[in-house]
Amino acid sequence: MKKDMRVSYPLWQMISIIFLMAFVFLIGFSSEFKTFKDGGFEFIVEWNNIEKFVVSIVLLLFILFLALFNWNVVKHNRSMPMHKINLFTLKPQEYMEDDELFQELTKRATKKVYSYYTLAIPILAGIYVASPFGRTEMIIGFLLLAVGQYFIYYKNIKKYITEDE
Amino acid sequence: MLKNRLKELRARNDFTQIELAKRVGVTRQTIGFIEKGEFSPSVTLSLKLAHALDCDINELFWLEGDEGK
Repeated sequence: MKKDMRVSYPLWQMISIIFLMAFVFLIGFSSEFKTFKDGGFEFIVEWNNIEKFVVSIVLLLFILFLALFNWNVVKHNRSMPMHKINLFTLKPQEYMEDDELFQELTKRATKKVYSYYTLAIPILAGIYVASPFGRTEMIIGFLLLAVGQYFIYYKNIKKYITEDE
Repeated sequence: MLKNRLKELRARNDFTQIELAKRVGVTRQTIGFIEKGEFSPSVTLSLKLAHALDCDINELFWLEGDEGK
């Protein structure tokens, strides 16, 4: 089970969302959005030298992350050809439906995620309505919500897998 | 709650968890979770297990409190 990337897949998703948050942060707080009366719009991103350096580092780390992720997917697909990770389907790759036990564990974890969203979305909506957050902070808030989703899913699946080992 | 005698009957038949799992078409983890009482199998899987262990399904699974019946 330790080699099964489907177990650690939510962690990879969490890291990619954190990268997305970094990009949203770097672009959101350095950009300007202008609309013109006669139609059209302009989107300007301005970075100083320090910001440019930070963006380059984040980009480099992201490329390294993607390479490592792809290498792990290939390794997983070779060692588990019956349970391949396919990045071109809409089905979440962390779902494990090998047999009725895994279907049950997946169901238990997704139920926890569902309960989390039932509570988290109205709370976040309430916070946004009652606070002066801008577009960037709002997007980061939604992305944090997604990180939470993967954390809950991973924590639950990991609990059962660890129990078994 | 569903109780079972899977571990005992598996040992009596000299099966490892992996061997029994292969016979009934599930993962080893499923056998482990059933033995620990953390997972209640479907009727289909219960019947397959009883068949693989050559016993009656009532001998393998019973409801808590029904021990004396």
